[in-house]
Parts: sequence; C-alpha cells; structure tokens
Amino acid sequence: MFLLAVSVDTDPELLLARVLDGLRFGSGYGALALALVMIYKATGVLNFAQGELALLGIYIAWALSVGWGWPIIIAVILAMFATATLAAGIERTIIRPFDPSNHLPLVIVTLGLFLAINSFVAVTWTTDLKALPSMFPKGNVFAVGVAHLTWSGLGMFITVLVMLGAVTLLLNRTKVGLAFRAVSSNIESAELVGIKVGQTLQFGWALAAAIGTLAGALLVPELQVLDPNVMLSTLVFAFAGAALGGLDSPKGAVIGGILVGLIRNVVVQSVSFIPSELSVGAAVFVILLVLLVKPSGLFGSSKVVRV
Amino acid sequence: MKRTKRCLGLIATALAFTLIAASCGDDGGEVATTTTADAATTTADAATTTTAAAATTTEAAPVSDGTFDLGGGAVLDTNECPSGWDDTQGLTDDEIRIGISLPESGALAGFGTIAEGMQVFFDNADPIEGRSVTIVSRDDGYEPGKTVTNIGEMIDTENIFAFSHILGSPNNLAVRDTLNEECIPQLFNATGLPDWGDPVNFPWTIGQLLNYSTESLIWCDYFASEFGEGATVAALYANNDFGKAYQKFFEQCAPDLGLEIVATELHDPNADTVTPEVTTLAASGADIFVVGTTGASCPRAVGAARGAGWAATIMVSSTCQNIGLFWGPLHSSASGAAHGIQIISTTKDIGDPRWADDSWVMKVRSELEAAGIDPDAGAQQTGYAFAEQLDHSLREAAANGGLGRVNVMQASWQQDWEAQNALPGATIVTDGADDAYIVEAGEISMLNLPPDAEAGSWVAVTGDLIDVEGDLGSFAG
Repeated sequence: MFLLAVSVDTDPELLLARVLDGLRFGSGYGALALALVMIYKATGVLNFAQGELALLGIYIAWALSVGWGWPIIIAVILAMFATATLAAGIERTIIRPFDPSNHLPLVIVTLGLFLAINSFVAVTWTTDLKALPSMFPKGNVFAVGVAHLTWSGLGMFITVLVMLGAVTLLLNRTKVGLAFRAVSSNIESAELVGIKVGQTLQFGWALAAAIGTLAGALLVPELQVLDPNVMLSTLVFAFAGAALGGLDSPKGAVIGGILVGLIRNVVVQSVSFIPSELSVGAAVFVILLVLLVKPSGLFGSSKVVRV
Repeated sequence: MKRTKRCLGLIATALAFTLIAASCGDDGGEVATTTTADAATTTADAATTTTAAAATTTEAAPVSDGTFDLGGGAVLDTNECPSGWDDTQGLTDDEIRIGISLPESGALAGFGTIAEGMQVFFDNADPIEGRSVTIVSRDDGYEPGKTVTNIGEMIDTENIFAFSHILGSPNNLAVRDTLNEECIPQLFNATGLPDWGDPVNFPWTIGQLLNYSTESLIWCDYFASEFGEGATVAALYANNDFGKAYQKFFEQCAPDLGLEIVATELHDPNADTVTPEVTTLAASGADIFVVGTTGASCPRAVGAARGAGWAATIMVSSTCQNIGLFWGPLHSSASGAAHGIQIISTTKDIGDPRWADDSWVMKVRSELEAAGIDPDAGAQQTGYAFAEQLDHSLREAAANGGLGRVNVMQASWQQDWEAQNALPGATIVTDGADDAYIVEAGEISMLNLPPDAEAGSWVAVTGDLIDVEGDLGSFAG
C-alpha cells in the first residue's frame, strides 16, 4: 500500500497567522470574484479582462493619490467611476455587437481586452514598481507573536462584506436590480416585458468594473508593491473562488474567495507534501475539483434542462 | 438627462477606442529602448538592414577559420561554426547591432528599462570604428521559452552582431547552447549563475555579475563572524535556476561555519505575493533572513517579514541593489520597512551620498536626465552601468585587430582594467579558464532609509572591500 508521509504544522501562533493572512488575501480574491460573478450571472461569460480593468482602476487611483496628492479614498472612488464608465463603453462598442448566446467569441474578446489593458497600463505608467497607499490606518489591531491582524486586513474584510450586502440589496430591492435579475434569468423574456437588455448588461459591466477596482485597491497595499503583473495571479485565485462558491452567486463568490485564500495560506503552507510554490497550482486544482464534483459550486444554482 | 447619458456613453466609447489603439501600438517591446531618433529609425529599418548589411559589412579585420586562444586552455574554434557564419555579421557601415532579451512585462518587469539605460550610454559615447551601438531589445517576461523565441527571431531578422546582458538565469541557460553552436557572442549575462564562467565548454558565453556561489560564501563568512556559531537562518528562494543556485551554495557553506538553517521556502517567481512563505519563515524566529529572490519579490519579502514583526537581520540578493527600483516603493507603502536591510553591493549606487561628487555618478545622472529619465527611479541606471563593460570589450576588440565576434570574445576573456561604476579598489580581470569571472569584489552594505527619510542610501557596514579577484578560477574547475 502506498503510504503518504504527511505532517502538518501545529504551532497555534503560526496557524493563527496563516488564518489571518488567508482571510486578508481571501477577502481580496472574494471581492474580485464578486465582480466576475456579476458579469457571468448576466451573460454566462467569464470576463478574463476583469482583473486588468481593476488594474487600470488601481493605476488611476495611484495617479490621483500619489501623483496629484488627492486623498486615497477619493482617488479610489473616482477610479471606480472611471473604470465603470470605461466598462460601459467597452460593453457598448465591442461586446454588444456579438451574439450573446455564442460565448466563444466573447471570451476571445475579453482575452484580447486583457492584453490590451495590460499593455496600456505598462506603456502609460511604466513597469517600475509603485506603492498604492492603503485606505486604512497603519498598524495592528492585535499581534500575538508572528500572528497579527492589521487595521487594513480588518478594513478589507469588513469592506468586502459591506460590498456584498450592497450588491445583494441592489439586486433584490431596486428596479435596476430586478431588471438585471430578469436579464440573467432569461434574456428573451426580459426583452418581451420591455426591459432594455443592452443597457442592463451595460450596467452589469459598469458595476463589475467598479467592484473590481475596489477589490484591487483593497488588495494591492497588502502586496506591498504594485506592478502591471499584480492582478494576473489574483485573477486565477478569484476564478477559483468564483468556481468554488458558484459562478452565479454573489454570496458564493465572496465565501469562495475567502476559502481559496485560506487554502493558499493555511492548507498549502501547513501540509508538508504540498510544495508552497504550488499555490497557483492549488487554485487550479480547486477549480478542477469543483467542476468535476459539483459544477454549480457551493452556492450556485444547478442548471435544469427540460428533456 | 438623456443627453448626459449619451455623453457618458461617448466618453466611454472614446476611452475604449483609446485602449484598443494603445494595445495596437505596443508591438511586444520591439526596441522599447528607442530613446533617440537614431535608434527608432534603425529599428524600423531592421528588415532592410538585414539584407543590406550582408552586402555592406565591413572592412574591419575579418577572421578566417581557425582556433583562437582565450587563456587557461580555453579556445574558440571557428571551424565548428555553421557554414555561412560571418565574424562581422551585424556590423554595418555605421552601426553595431546588439540584441538583448529581458522582462519588460511580468513579475520582473522592473528590470525592463535596462536596455533603455544601455542605449543612453551609447548615445553619449564616441563611435567605435565610426559606428554607433544600437540596442535591439525584446520582451520575454522572464519566460525562458520566450527568450528562445526572441533570440531566434533576432538572429533571423535583426542582423545581430552579439547578444549582451540577457537577463535571467533560466533565460540565459535556455539560449546558451544555440548561441554557442551558432558562434554568436552571449556577452555579460545579467545573472550571477556560476555556469557563465566556463570558457572551455562555452567559449561564446560570459557572465558579468558577482556569481551566486561567491555571494553565498561571503554571506556565510559574514554571518559566522557577526553572529557566531549556532546562529539561525531562514531562507526564501525563487523556485528556478536563479534561486536554487543560491540555495545550493548557501546550504553548502552554512553548516561548515556553524550556521543552522532552520527554515527554507521556495516561491513561485511569478506569484503576486510571498507572504504565505514569509509567514512560515517568520515563525521560525531565526536570527537571519536570507532573501534569495529578485524583482518585485525582493521588497515583498522584506515587507512581509517586517509586517510580521520579525526582527531578523535581512540579507537580500545583490540583484536587488537598486534603491529607486525596489526599496523606494516599499518605503512609500511601509515606511521604515526596508531600513537596515543588508546586501553585498558591487557597484556605486547613484543614490549613495558617498558618490555624490564622483565623476561617474555625475555623468550617469546628467546623461539620464538629459534623455528625460529620472535617474533615481527605474533600472536605466543599472543598464547604463552594464553598458560600460560592453563598451570596453567592443573598444578593446576594435583596438586589437578590429571589431569582430572573435576579437570581442577574446577581449572579454582577457581583461585587466578598472570600471568606473565599480567600487574603488575593485579591478576587472579575466584570463580565460584561469579567471573566468568579471565582478569578484563587493562590500557589505546596509540600507539607510528610516521612516521619516525621503531618500535612502547604502552605507558600508565594515568599509572593507571583500575582493576574491582571481581566486575563483572557472566553473569547470
């Protein structure tokens, strides 16, 4: 019989440190996963450019706060508006002309956007490392040995929960939210009852871009330095989070993202036979496992097809 | 209201088009370095120059088939070169075309402006045999596969005389066999893998930087003398040839000197963070934290260690010396986090007040500023310093038989001079297989960048130049 030698670190301080790291990074992945889910829910398409739209927003926030000296919170809010406007324009010009039921061309368009935005950022702001200020105070809420809960970590976690609450309210308690849910449920029926599908989808893209920008602005200060590559692996973890939580569930996206953060920081680091350099591999493994075992994810709705 | 909406839609549309236009404009880093009109023209004309060059090359000392002594028993044998190989390929009437592949995107994109700095050096230098030097650069994103593609394409279409300062250990390893088979110089690899000092087996390849084996040995000696026997060390390495070279050599010397390695972590070189690994290392509470990685991971590792409250002495790879590139951004995000980190520095850091009146440092500053580049911000200053070595070999070759690939290799394997960018007292001596390494001296420095400081500098810890010039022999032994 094949015996696998497994040892798990049991130092409680280290475990706590990893859990706190996992919650911190996981909140960021969850927030970006929420942005992915908004577009998937409406169109059934995974937007590969979501991370790069957030990257553009992060650099705009950096330019406004560091370059122009504006307060970081104002800079982030303006960056959210800027990327939302841009995303609405992208939807109108290069997404809407394609048949919404044919996903492959749309996926290819989002891949193209991914490259385009990344190049644009690198050309505009260069690839030199930069620092995005945090929206939260510096310092620790508490620290026990190597374990520490920072104000920014706590702020991130709370902001993501508030963001999830706001999105849930928006979808369930407003007219535009109702229209969005109707379009998500069935485009043809929505059109027949007079909902302007194009504008509703445009709204979805704008909202997703704003959420993504906020996710990036929360996460990047935790990565110490900013470069144009920063959202690439974050997007992989966000995909894993969205898949784990259920691709059409906002709540699932956030919980999935946090679970992926915990898997990366706690499971991969604690279990001896998983090399820590395989953290991105672990995210891909999560995606595969979910697709094989429970394709709808933890909170997603299963597809029911009349036969 | 409707009009406002339409306006917003139009603005968004315009922005979207701008983005698309921008992406079309970026052709993957094809001499990004074109800071001068000259360079821009040559790049655009590359395709035509290729054919034209074959016809117009050179009255300068062509080399016939034969063997050429490099020193210490190493020889260049041009009889083994492919048929059609030309010693003066890549030299036109007015140009010396040098290729470089380096990361202008990806985790190590911070190094991407090295080529730009090299071009600034040559734009301000006197012509060599009446020719100016053009740096043709391609982006490989630190992906060895892309380096192979870039090199192949440049050989086929860019009429390259020699490659210089290709960045990255895995990237240089990936193209070394090809360049040696094709008899094209692979000069001054911008990596410290000891493998580059092997003229017996790879006479067309030479490195430049302090090699990682020597650097590890200096770390071991310094830690043993500073902390004494039983000092504990935790180490982070990039999971590639570069990081593993550090790991191999450090793990060889540490036990002999009574240092105890209590934790080791490898990280994905392209990861967005190294915090998970550093948290594990910090929990060891080791006295010393060795950062055997580079690029953005350098400041990220230090920031994560300080954030975890780990009060270890931190020694970072010599590849992370550039303050503006790595430590300024970390200082902005977590002021004071980088203060006190240590390094083996091998060149004059232009931000160091010690060198404020140094003629070399003043030249770097004024020429970069004249080219519209902030000398303290990016990697251009590194590229500028790299170019000094390339310039020296080209001029030596021109003065000793004329520009040609063989003469440049001979000039590179037979050096004895003092570089202006090197620390005072350090000499550059090579002698083929008897002395196959260029930079062999450095000093332990500490970063002075306290929380309230606006700019930092490296400060010598002991003030002694650790010089192992000539002791290292070659990679083959």
